[in-house]
Amino acid sequence: MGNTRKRRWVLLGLTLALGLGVLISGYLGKYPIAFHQYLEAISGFFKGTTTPATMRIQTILMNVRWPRIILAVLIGAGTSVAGATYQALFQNPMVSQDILGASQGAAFGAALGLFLQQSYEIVVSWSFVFGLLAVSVVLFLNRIIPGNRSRLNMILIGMIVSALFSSAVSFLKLIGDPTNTLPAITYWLMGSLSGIKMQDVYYATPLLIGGMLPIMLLRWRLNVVALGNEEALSLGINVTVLRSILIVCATLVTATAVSVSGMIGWVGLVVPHFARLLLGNNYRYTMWATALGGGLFLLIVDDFARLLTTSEIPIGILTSVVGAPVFLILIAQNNRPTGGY
Amino acid sequence: MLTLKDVSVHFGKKQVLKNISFNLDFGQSVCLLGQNGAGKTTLFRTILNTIAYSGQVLINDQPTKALSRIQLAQKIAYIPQNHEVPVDFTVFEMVLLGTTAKLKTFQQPGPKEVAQAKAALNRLGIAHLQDMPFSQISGGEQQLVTIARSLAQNSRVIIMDEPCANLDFGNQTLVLEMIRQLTQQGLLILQSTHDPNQALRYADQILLLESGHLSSGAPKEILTSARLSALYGMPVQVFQVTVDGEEIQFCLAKKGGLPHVANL
Repeated sequence: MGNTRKRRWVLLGLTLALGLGVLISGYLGKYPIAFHQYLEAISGFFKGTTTPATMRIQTILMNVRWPRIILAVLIGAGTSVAGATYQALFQNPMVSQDILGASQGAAFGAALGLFLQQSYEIVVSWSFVFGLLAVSVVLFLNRIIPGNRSRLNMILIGMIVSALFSSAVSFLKLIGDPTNTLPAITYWLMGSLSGIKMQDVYYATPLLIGGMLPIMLLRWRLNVVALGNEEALSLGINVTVLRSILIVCATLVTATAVSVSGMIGWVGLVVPHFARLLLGNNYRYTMWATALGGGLFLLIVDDFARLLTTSEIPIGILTSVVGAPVFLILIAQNNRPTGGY
Repeated sequence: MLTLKDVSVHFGKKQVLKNISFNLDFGQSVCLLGQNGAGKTTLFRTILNTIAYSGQVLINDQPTKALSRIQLAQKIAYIPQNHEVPVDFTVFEMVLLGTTAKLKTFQQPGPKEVAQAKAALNRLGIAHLQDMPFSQISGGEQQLVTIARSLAQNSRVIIMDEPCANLDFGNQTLVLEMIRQLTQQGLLILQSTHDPNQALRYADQILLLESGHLSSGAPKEILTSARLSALYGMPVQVFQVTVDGEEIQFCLAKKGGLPHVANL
């Protein structure tokens, strides 16, 4: 079958591109490194050897570039996988954590943690709790508000809940200390991967992978859930349990990403859409394309964020520039008689 | 064998289904008729154990309440009314989804499931559609695909909610003939319909729901002029003709039978 071959090439191509992207991103940076020295430093890692010349490069890579690269890839992949999960769960290609209010809820939780100068664990757990709360509120309102449960309805309710949490964050900024907590919250909210340390990688990686893993394992069942409640039930799926597990996992990934890097919007909406364009709607394959593509996308955008101008551009600004037009195209497509989803 | 014993359903204080009992053998095409709001969908949900009810639903003398979702899915398949497809899978993927019940939680469909899906497509003669997007085939073909999915699911009972709604005459006939064929091969297919002529022509047995009460029997006994007139609240007459040696029954609404229309 032609499909199988195409799938293989797409997934192989994405994997290679991601590997290459990681390698090149490590080479790129404000501190100039000669390419042959860069390669020497990397092979030094594997062989466990260091020369005085590669020593400094290895320090830069270990402390500055690699933590950032690792988390860019993991957050990109996680955010995209979480976005695709929300889209399947709510049978709506136009939702994502940003639109459902999960990101804003998570941002409020994290901002509250930052405001009260809590530890990393507290920041992440509050972020998770409030992210979950925001999604639950959206689902609850969508159920009780009379009228047709159209795709647009859920988006509007999501906007309301997002706005509520955003203003709560604004309130925290208002009463925040202008010398430390206010700038911390403000800059972090814009979404940035700068200043990430190995420490962050150790904290965030298990949570990101821990959230993504169940979704990846359950990705076939996501197809069934995407058909709607009644059909999923009659196909032998315990919808309530599966949905809850998937919502918790997707929100955990979202909250962790938000706690580490702030609000990097649009990724969870745009990447799954492109993955579907490449490989169709079957999550069995599309979820891999989503994960690989998401990692690659955020890695490249982050390279631009740190290299485009002399001072860093917050990455959230760049992803919005890409994401907003794509969302517009999605709305246009959705209004056609045969939706592309 | 699908058995209902004394099944009642309440929505708040309103009793939607009242002490319903019937017995359906395999190898039959069964049509469920009733006015809008008579409780047809509720009856289906009861059989599928997705709403609360009193009484018993048995499949091969086993109460469905005791079965897990997975076990029930291997006995009864459900095809909801033709609606907008939320996700556009290919035809093959759609049929493959039917094999989910037999997979372990984290398992992906393998060669065995693929073979099962292909067999289902071949059985309905729609293998040539397998790479088409589900949204781009005709409504009748879409119904055949969902039937193929139920076959891949391997359940011997298929419940269909108005499979012919929104289909043109050609596609209706395609779906109904296919249903007849499959029931002759031993399946039990229970469908709801608003068209008494479909029931007269294609059903082996009729279930008639009238404000929560159910009567069942052969089409000739149940779908009489008197019953149909009472059901739809206007004079209906059943005729019998012989076409190519086969006795065929059909019904017509009588002209001038509706006073408020005649008074216009």
